[in-house]
Amino acid sequence: MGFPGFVAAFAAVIVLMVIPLVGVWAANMTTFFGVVVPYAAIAIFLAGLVIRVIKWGQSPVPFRIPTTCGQEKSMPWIKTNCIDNPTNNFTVLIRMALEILCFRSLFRNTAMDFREGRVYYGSAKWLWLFALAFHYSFLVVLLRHLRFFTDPIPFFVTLLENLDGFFEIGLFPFTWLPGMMLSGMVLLGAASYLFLRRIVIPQVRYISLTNDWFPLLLIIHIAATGVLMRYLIKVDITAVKELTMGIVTFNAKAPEGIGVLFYIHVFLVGTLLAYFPFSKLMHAPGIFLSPTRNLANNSRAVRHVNPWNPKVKTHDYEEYEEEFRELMVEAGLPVDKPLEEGAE
Amino acid sequence: MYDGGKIITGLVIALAFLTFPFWWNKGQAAQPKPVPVITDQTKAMGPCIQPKEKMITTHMQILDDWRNKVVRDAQRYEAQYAPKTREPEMVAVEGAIEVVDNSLLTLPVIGPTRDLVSSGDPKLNVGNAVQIERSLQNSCMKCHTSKKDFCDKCHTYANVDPTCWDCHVAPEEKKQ
Amino acid sequence: MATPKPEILSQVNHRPPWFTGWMDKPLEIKPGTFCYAANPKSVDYVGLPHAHAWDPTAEDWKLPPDWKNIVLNGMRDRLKRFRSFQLFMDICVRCGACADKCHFFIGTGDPRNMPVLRAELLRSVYRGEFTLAGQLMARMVGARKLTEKVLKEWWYYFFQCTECRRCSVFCPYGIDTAEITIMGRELLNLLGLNIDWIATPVANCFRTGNHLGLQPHTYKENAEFLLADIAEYVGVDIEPHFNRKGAEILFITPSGDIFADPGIYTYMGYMMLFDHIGLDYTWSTYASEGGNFGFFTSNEMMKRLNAKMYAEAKRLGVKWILGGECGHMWRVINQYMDTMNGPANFLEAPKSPITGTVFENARSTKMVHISEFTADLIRHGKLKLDPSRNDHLRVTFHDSCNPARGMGMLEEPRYVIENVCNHFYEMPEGTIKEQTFCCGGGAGLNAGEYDLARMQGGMPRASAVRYVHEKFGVNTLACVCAVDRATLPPLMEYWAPEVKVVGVTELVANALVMDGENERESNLRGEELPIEVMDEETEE
Repeated sequence: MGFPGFVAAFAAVIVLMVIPLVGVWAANMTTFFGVVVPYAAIAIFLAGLVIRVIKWGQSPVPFRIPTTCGQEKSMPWIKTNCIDNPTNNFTVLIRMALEILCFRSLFRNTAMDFREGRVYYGSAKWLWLFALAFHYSFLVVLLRHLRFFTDPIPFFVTLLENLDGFFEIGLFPFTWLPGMMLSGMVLLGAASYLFLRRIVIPQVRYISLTNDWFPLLLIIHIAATGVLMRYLIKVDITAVKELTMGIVTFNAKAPEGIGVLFYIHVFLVGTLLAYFPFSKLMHAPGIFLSPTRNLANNSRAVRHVNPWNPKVKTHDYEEYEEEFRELMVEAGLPVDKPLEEGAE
Repeated sequence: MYDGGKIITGLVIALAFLTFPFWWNKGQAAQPKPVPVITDQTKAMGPCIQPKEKMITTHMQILDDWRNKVVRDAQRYEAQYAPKTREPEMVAVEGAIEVVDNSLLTLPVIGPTRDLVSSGDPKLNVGNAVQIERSLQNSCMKCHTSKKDFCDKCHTYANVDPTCWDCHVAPEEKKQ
Repeated sequence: MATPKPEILSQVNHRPPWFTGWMDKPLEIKPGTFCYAANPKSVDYVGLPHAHAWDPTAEDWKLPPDWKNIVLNGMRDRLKRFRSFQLFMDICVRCGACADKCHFFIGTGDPRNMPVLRAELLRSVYRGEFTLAGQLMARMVGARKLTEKVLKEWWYYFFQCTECRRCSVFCPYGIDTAEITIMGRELLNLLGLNIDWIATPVANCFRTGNHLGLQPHTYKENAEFLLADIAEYVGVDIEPHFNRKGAEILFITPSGDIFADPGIYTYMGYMMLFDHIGLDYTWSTYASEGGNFGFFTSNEMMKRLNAKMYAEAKRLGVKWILGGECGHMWRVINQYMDTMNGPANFLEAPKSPITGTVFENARSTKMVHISEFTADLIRHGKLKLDPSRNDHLRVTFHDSCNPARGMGMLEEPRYVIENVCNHFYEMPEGTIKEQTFCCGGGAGLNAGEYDLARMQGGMPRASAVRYVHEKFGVNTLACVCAVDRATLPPLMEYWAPEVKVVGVTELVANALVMDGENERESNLRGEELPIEVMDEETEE
């Protein structure tokens, strides 16, 4: 909860780093940490993901509730905002693509400034910028890792590596980084920003839970161990690939001579994978299913069906007229049934 | 409205992406990591400038460092203190390495970080260190004569495309 | 308790404490910020469970003995019925983008009014009672058990959310706190814990057809009073139609507009407009409510009240339905009505009898918004208008939350206003259209005893109005919502006293040149038109 949650999450990550350190260094459990843990993590990740999404799918969307963020389609002479207020599947697709690929809603973000009882709104794009940088650099890093998991290596991995290392930064202070990959640095930087804003911004600090700090710290440490392995505390890459290729061809055994840092890296990644389906990280598949974004605002033109539409007791006109007939007749309002004889 | 079809389709696509390495390599037997060929001829030329394990993980940094020093600072040679395990007579590359003061052998061997040649250290001429020409072609490839059997083995495996050969000419591959 | 002066309410601290978590923050149910408990008679009348008398400030809320099971089973059931609920319980990352978007947080500084924490009130229980991690690690993962304190927190904060959806515009996953609040209120209603400002209108509407409980004869009388006013100020006699079978169009609008100032002027506007174009239409005393406080109770209750619209349209044999100015009414019509009570195959796709326009966007639900209808009339030149009669007004437009974010009707009312007024000014970006601010009293929170919270919650809206008032001399705040017409006048009086609140159709009616009318000396409110100012301005 709030700041104390950070302490708990940090402690958890430290423990997660100590476990493989001890396991590999002291007990030489390379098969456990190099083979068993990755397989278990992948299995939990895939099964958990599928089960969770199917569970979501089992709840219907009873009502068509898109949040409309622009002009509706009404009359032809009024310009419709078809992206923020889509009316058909195609425009919904555009809205969703922009949402998922560009974080469009987050781009709207404003910051409130409250002075002397007045509310001011300023642009606030930092969260959007760093969130975008974080997710895309993470994606690039993941895709680049395919070089450990494929043989032959698909062209796009090489292409991505070339682009990523395009700048070949080798000047101060990066003289120890031949062929620096930009994505790793951006990932580390963006994750650190996301982490720092949780500490610095009072409101965000207040709402942050242990399970907000934890994945961020986990990813920061994954990126950091990866960066360390690439540039400073090197490991035998071919031995690593022998292990990773063994995993994807279901014939894994841990070769000798991979540094312990690799096992720490792998253990943290395994934790992230296994943690994924049970955590807020499920926002990734979740956004695809979000009913305020993935539905067209056309419920007046096309009827949306609720599978459990309940039968309800209504107060029908007959009951109404029954109660008020006399008053209605007196007031000169038309009635369906005339007043009974003798009621006058 | 459940949109079950869409959800299942989405899941299948997601799983296809997530399990990409598994089906991309399908039917492939697990291969042991490639071993760069070190011929008897190479062995005969003596030990490398660093222990093997160190060379496996950091040769790229050594080469990068060499390039910077040679190209940018015109420091073509470096002195290296011979490791204790290395006997003076095993020093190999002719003319490139010379034996110097024995008393310097106690210094730790941590890699090509100090440059005694350019600093004009007088001890160099009397001590037991080795002078190495910082050169891929003149030093490394003198012993490891085949790019194909040595360099490319791992580089291809790990999808590494070093820029070395943008400028350097690889030695001619000998017919076997 | 009297509401403190604006200078006091302007002091808001938005910085939550460093070390204490929100779960440890004690709950303080402060006077002026909660609505009275539901009258058990009202709850009982519509057959909702556990009608009982209770006092929100008391320790004992007289809950049924198995209340915990009722709530948890209710949650389980709703998680299975609403994907929105299940999903929004699972995917929030607490990025905080919504935090400073809520008018209640801006106005009160109470961190539990940040949309993310409002949802966490429920989410924490979801984690604690329904997920393994939550049961094992509890507070570590922000989970807790359902207790009476939690339930009271729910009640206090779910009745401090106006379901305006502003947060959902900014949420990167579209998490809509309105959905959370709707679920929360449904759960509270399982224990009879509604507020009276919702429960009694619901019971009234069920019985008499409208929230105010106006019986048929009273409804008609009220309309006749308004017609007398029209005759006096405009000089035109209009004959009203009630429950008339065979009319082409059924018109339905919130009952608030037939009852209270300033809504009545909009009501007069409707009658003048329809008379001007010779519309073949009828009012209904049975379906005499456009609004739907059932929406603030449960989806079933919403359906029960809404059913009257189609039922009455069918009984009267009209071709389609025209709807008046109202906020949540249009969320219900646009996003729920056809699903709940349709398909309305006995009606025809709405076609304006005056212009021939077919409203394709409403071809299934068969209900058209008065602003869409009027904009179409103006576009086709079917209204005789003299906008200079509104020249003494400097008008700005308040987008109601629901038509803006649950429908997207942004340009139609603006088009109407710009054709009936010569001085129109927008409030600043970020406070209008899809980013509009709530009036502070939506979703059934317009109660008198709730005054303090309304003034606080309405502050962001008022702040923007004050800005255009100072910059452009804006003196008129137009809106298309009956709840706005009830909540905004006191809000303006408090924060921007020089600004009056009008309905868009009232502006139309004031500019309308009726056949056989008098020389207009006053507007529909009986206020004299400032002739001289008018002349000066037209010369400019």
